[in-house]
Amino acid sequence: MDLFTVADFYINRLVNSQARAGSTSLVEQNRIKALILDKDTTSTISMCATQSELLNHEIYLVDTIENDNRDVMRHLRCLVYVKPTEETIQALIRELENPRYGDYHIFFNNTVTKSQLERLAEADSMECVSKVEEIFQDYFILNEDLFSFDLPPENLFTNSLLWDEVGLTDCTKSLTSLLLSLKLKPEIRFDAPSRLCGKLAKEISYEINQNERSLFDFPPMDSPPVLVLLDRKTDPLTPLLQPWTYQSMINEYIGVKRNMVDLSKVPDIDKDLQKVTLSPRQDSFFKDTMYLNFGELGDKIKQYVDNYKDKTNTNSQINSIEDIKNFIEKYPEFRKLSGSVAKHMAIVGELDRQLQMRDVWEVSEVEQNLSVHKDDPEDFRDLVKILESPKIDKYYKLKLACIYALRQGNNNSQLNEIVQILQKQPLFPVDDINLFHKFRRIFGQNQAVDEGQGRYWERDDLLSELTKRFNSKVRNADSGNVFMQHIPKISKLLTDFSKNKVPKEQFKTLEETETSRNANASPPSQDLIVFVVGGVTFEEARFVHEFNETMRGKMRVILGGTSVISTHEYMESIRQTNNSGI
Amino acid sequence: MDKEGGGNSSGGRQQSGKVTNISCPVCGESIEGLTKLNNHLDIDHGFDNGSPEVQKRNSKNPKTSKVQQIVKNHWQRPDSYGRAVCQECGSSSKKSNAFINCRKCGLIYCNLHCKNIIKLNTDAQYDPLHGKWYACCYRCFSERPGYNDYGSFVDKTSSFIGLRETKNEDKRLRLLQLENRLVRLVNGIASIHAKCKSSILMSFTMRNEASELERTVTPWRNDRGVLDCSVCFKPFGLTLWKHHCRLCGNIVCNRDETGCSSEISLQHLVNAAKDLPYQQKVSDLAEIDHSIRLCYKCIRSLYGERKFKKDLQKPKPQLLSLCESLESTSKLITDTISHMEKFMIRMDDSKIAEQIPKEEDMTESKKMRTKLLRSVAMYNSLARQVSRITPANPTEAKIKRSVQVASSTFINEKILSLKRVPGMIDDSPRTSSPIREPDKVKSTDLLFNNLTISEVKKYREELMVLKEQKFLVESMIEEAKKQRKFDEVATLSTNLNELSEQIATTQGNLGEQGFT
Repeated sequence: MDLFTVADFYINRLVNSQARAGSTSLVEQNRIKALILDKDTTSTISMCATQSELLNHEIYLVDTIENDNRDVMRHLRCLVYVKPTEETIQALIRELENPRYGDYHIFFNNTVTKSQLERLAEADSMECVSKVEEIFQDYFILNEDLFSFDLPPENLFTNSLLWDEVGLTDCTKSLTSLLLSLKLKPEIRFDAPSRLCGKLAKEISYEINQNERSLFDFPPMDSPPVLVLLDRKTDPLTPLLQPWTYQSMINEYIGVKRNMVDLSKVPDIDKDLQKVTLSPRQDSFFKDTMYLNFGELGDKIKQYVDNYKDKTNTNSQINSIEDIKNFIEKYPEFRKLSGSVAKHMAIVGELDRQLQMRDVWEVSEVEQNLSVHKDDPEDFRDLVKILESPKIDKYYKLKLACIYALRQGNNNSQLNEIVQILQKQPLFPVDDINLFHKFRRIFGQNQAVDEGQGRYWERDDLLSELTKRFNSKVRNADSGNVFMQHIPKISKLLTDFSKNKVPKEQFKTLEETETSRNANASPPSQDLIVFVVGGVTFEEARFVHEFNETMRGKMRVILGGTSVISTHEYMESIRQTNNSGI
Repeated sequence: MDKEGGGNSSGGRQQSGKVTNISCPVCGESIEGLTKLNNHLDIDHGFDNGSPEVQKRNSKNPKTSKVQQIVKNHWQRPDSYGRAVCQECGSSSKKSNAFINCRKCGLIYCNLHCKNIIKLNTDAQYDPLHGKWYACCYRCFSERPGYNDYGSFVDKTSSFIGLRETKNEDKRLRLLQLENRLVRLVNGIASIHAKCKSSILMSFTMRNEASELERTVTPWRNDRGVLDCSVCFKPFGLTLWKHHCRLCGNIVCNRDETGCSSEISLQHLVNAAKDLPYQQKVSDLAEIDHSIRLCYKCIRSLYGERKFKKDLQKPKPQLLSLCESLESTSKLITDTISHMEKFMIRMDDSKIAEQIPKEEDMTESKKMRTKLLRSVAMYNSLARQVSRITPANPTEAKIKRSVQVASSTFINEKILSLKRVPGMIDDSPRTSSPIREPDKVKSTDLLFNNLTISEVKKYREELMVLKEQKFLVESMIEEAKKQRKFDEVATLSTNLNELSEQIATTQGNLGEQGFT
């Protein structure tokens, strides 16, 4: 269940595409290929393949279908790889009516409807299409066990309880394509109190049953895979806390979208470094360090730079012919290394600058203490100190207040005190106070629901000893780190799945299958796909990765979300939530 | 009983793949054929699937209520000393509780390496639906069908082509109609032309008769009630006149900017569709000076596909054909290199065995080397040709850039690594000064007084290669001179000088051992 293997498989299928035997026309002999993408698949391809890999397959031209200024090149074979949206189908119809290339192989990254196919067939009067295929990769692969649909939460829901029509369809389609690409026909379990998850579960199960014969015709497994649908609202704490590991910090402080890091806002940045790509696939240093915390990262990057310096030193002493030979041999590698060092230095430098500038250290410590301790007067004192401090950014104050409300939702007198402090702050926008109240409304209600039903997460305290023991086994390095005390709920969920102790009341299944009926008798599931509606965090991705490492050979987990969110994005999504549903 | 019966029957199904000798899954006795096995199972082991007769017998002989045990006769046994060795980590133990047999493949594992579970039926075969959980090794676990499976895809080509056929059938018919009309028009006009050629009133009568002909060939659409152009939908008026397309009869405008209709001379019409069955020869029609108005749609459906097919027949642009030969050369080089590497390993092996290299091996290696050198030289010149082409359009410029990137990476990866092959260095196109220098010095470095036989051989070989190369470069210079590419001649001749220098030093090294 390594997502990159799947991506490789599909890319290979794409670039080595052959038309069916028998139709060897003249054009077939043309080996030079053009690859035409749309705005979605461009990212899909660029996140999984490098330019030189494409060049190795004689793809010398890459362009987008939206670009209308492409020149006519009749002697090129054209590979089209697009997402079957209305927009691209239109563009494709225009292309086929006036074909620019000699031969077309069309690949869709998800299922096409009959009518779309019909319209394309009608447009292809020159009969220049020699292949049409659906492959299923309508999602973005970030890590080998993390995927995202990159659907921003603002457009997905009409309010916090209801899906937007289009958002639901998009999400269902993408999730179906993920299941197809992994050849899984899963049992669906969803977060019972969440209406969003329930709706999505129904849609997906409908989709699977609809295509059971044609698409989901996989051999039965003795331990059927499980798709777990979670709601971000179930664990609102995790996306509120400042993260401390490399990948998540980049997302928090600089922003990374589809593996592109935009460094253009960094002061005095080199021109070549304004936009850099970061992929655990192509960058081995990043692969080694992406889950490390900031302290460990510092050590690693120091080693990396020292290593680089050593190499430059040896290169600077070119005395003998052997040296020159070695230098030449290692030159490409060396150039790559120097580029990589510069990139990571720029990123880490920027992270450090922002941490210093915003006093994140101080804020984060209080955040972590608040999230872990239950009702500690000392924590409240620290909180008040931060709220009153003039040098702390108002965004962090608001966030701290929200975290406190989340943890001590019933303590009205203290919450009122917080509101008063916030109002006293100079230039504190009224809008933010409103957001705080809104936050309390949404999650206060949520807590009531939590207590009413099952009290699954509340049992946290009873089971915490077990969880903690498991977690300490997983991440020894972090124990005692004040900045990383909080453990996301997903960790407990995974532990419970590995022990087969997930209660049916909390995680419902749609239909009573045989395995779910005697769930307690059957051993734990072996393949798990966890999907978070409303966005997943890189911090959770780290836990999933560590879980996979510990359970290697027994359980495999893949995590995904409608998008990957930072604290800012999460706060923003709450701000934008429509009030009407609550 | 029911459940076990199911398990057994599916086990039997799995066995049915093999044809001849089958060993009974329970007692291991070898039995020919499936029916015999079934009988054997039913009678000797009391299996049945509930046929009434057997049930009767069962009720007579009270069934052993023992739960069916999974077969164990495929289990690996400890060796003769009673020691068991784990397949995975190789640790061995004599204790019986320190190791475990994987219930599926039967091999012995230590407790650490047999921790996975799998559903098996009593024949120790994987049975995801009716089996029971047993311990198994990771290999059996991960080899379950569907466990490491990924990458569904659906080929829609045939349904697409099917749809296209039905859609295009109508279009074909329409096209045929249009073509017929065109042929009739052309034929008719040609005969009118022949009739009127001698007449004084030629242009006048011809126009009249032609327009009559046009109306008989194509029923014109009644222009009453038609308010706007059938192509651009702009309403007609005083300035925008109605025109009839002579092939489909529809009413269109003649705006230049939209090109909804245009008058095209007969000659052009015929030339662009030479394949149609005209009565006259195409060349004879050239003298007729007559134009026919066609609408955009008819022009497109008549000539669009013809143009597309004609374009395909055209020779490839130089850039593309160069790219392709570059590709095939690079494939040739990679192949030769891998051959050579294998060969080298063999040579090294024989060297270790202190055998004198065989004569045919030596010639073989020489041959390969020459082949490699030639192809590298070819690659080099092709890459240069690519960089000299001026791209015809932005797309070609893009392609050219990618080709250059690809060839330079190829050179970096493959050809630079060949530096160790003597003489190779001077052919790689990237030989700028830092690369060439070491080699030059290296040759002078190697001034030994007493050469061993192998060294002599090495030098001789080097010399051969160098001479070959010199010849190659000389011929390239000749060719470049012929093609008047003097800038290339200059670089080549510096190459040549260096080569001769190297030849001299190598010859010096060899001294009297050299041969001329």
